[in-house]
Amino acid sequence: MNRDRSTLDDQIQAYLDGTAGEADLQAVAEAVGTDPAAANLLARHTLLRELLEDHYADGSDLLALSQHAFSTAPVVWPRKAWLSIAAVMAALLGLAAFGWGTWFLRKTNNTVPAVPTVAVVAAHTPDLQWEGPTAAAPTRGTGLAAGPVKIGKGTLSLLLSSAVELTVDGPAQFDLSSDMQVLLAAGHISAAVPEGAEGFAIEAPGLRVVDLGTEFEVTVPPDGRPQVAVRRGAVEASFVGSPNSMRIGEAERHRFDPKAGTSEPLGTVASRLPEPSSQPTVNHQPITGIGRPASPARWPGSSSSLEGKTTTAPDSASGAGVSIGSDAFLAIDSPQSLAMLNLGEPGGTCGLQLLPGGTLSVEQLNIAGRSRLHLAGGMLTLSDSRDQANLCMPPDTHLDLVIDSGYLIAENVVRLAAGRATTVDMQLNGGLVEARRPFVLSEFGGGRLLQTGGQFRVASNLFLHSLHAEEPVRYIIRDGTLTGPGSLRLGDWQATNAIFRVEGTKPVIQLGVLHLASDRGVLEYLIDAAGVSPITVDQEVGLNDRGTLRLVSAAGDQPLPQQVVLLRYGNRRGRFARVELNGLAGSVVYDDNAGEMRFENIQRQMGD
Amino acid sequence: MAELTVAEICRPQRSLAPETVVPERDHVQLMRECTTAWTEAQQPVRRFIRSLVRDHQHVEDLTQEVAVTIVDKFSEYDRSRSFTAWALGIARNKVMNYWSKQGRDRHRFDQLALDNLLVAHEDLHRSADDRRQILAGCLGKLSAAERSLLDRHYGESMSATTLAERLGLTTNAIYIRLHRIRRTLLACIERTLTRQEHTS
Repeated sequence: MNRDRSTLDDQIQAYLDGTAGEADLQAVAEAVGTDPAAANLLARHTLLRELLEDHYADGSDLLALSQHAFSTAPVVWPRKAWLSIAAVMAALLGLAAFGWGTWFLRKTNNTVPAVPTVAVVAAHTPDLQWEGPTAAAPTRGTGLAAGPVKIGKGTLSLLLSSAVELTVDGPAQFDLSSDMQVLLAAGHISAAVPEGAEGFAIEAPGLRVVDLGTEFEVTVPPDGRPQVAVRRGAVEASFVGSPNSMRIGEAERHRFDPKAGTSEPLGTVASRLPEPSSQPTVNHQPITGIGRPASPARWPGSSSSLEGKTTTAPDSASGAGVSIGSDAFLAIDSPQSLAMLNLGEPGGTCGLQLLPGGTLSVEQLNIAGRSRLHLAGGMLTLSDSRDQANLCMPPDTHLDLVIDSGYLIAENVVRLAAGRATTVDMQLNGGLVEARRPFVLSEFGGGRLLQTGGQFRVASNLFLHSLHAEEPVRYIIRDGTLTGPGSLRLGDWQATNAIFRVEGTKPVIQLGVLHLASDRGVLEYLIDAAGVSPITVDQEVGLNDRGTLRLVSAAGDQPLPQQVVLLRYGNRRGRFARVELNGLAGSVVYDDNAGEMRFENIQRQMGD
Repeated sequence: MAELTVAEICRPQRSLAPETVVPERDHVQLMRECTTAWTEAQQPVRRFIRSLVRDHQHVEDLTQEVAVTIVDKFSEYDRSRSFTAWALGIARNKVMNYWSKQGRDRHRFDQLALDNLLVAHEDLHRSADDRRQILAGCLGKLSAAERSLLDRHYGESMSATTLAERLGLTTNAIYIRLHRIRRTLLACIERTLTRQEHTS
């Protein structure tokens, strides 16, 4: 036998790598057939690879996590393999793949750690009258533990760690049992339940309402007869203790009488598309200009004609392929599904806008020329089950991606500006971007992301790096939220530029991991009179003795706070290689006992 | 020469057409039971297939085929037997069919090898969750350079070839480093596992 590797371990690993020579292959096969220990070794290496892939796919790629479980968003994110199996099951069962598939996922995830908090305050109206359990009213970003909550008046928006969004209108009294169940004693709650959180339940006195993938409302009026309205999807309602349940479909509204055990329909409810809890900013300035026509064209096939060149062609079982040519501008205000959308042509300009009521699910979005993608409402889903990225930008492409409202859901890897000489200007002013797999800004080209509102949820890794851009990749957050169990990685290991800048106290940033992956990665804070928002990292901050901490004060003579918390973390690895104070004086303190990195004794330096 | 269209540059692959079989509603309860059992069995099944098939997409496809067969034949499942063992048996047949269609590899792993692997994966599954938890701690014990390599390879999905280009090393050298790191991790996990078993 010609063994070209030294040990069976190496041979097995080479076999799993796919690099084993014929002699190694034969040796592995023989060993596995003759020696159970060899079979065991092959099994253990196979398992190890799976565990490593899962570890990194979950964004939990740094050190032990159990002691520092992510406190606000241990969302059960779909994993490709499980989804595909679940989809088969669902298809065979004739059930919606959506609900069944994610139920399946939930069952498979049996290691969700215990968490101290189950929700974070996403927003509230100024007139919120907080009546407990704590004396101090929560502010935006405050974490809420499981337990009772009472509000006298006003509206409170909560983001549960299951990614369910709740809006509670006072007066209301409820109990957050967990991130998957709320007990509503009195008042009105509406729930938007994203994919992955089906099964979320609201229990009113005598009535249990279980979500089946939907947006719905439960009201408990003083007469104790709960009402259930479904805006989208469906729910299952059952009297507590009864084995029977009733399905309430879209646009239906019912009133229940738990004492009498009866229900009555209350007419229909206007169906509407999901809108995130944060308000869109109306007066946003486009980053660069591809104008929005006064009267946008209609979707192909509708009665209105489309400006510019558009062709449609059947492309796959799941929908048509559509190409939007140069100088075309398309607005979508109705549900659409496509296998492929080609936006723009090399050298041309093109725009696509989603309006409220417009949903577009597309497997592959190809962008060329100078294109503008604008979400003014509705939902754009980059839905894909393939391994490859589903948003493609070939060389010499520029994309303005502006989200004012609505949802952008990326179910697969997104690599913005992945080709040479490509640039992306992304602006998140409102609405929601949910990146369920790695999101890269930008791989080879130039990119910047300005967030002035809305929510950016990161389930996997958010990479900020560019190999060839002259300008560093920038992500500036002025308002809104950047949350999720995933990681933020600044820079690539090959000394690429990346800047993540937090401005003022409005942003809420809570992630699983922060990782300085490049010596030229920069974490920048703009400190104003009120201070600056900390970045909360539930697992680990990997500073790795790399990169720069840059502190900047807002212009003017207003006094600055004495100290600000810059990072809150479970674990810390290393320090910043450099600290730039830019006209400030003070000291950066790493306080691992408190799990904080602070900037203390802050003063403006005279003469700078 | 005609300029390439965007679609040609991006070259999307066709995705699988969704299944559209609509079964009778009466089967739902049975299928729910089946799915619960499959929830437990799918991981060892997938790992077993992965031990024997290199192409990731084929691993997914075969796992999916096992799931379909399990749903089809669930009424034949003998409940006195382990469901996982039954599912692994189906997986073995799927892999053998796959090999015969591929026309190669089929004689490499013999029946005995497949049996040994079945047993190994079924046994190993019992400690999989513990290993998952221990892994995080063991990763923390690696050197910065080792972690960096894993971060790139797994976190950023960089292939050994790309890593080699970036690091100015040969692809083989990257593979060897990764082998060494995985060996270290495996040893650490198993040491910890043994210690935990002793203390409990």
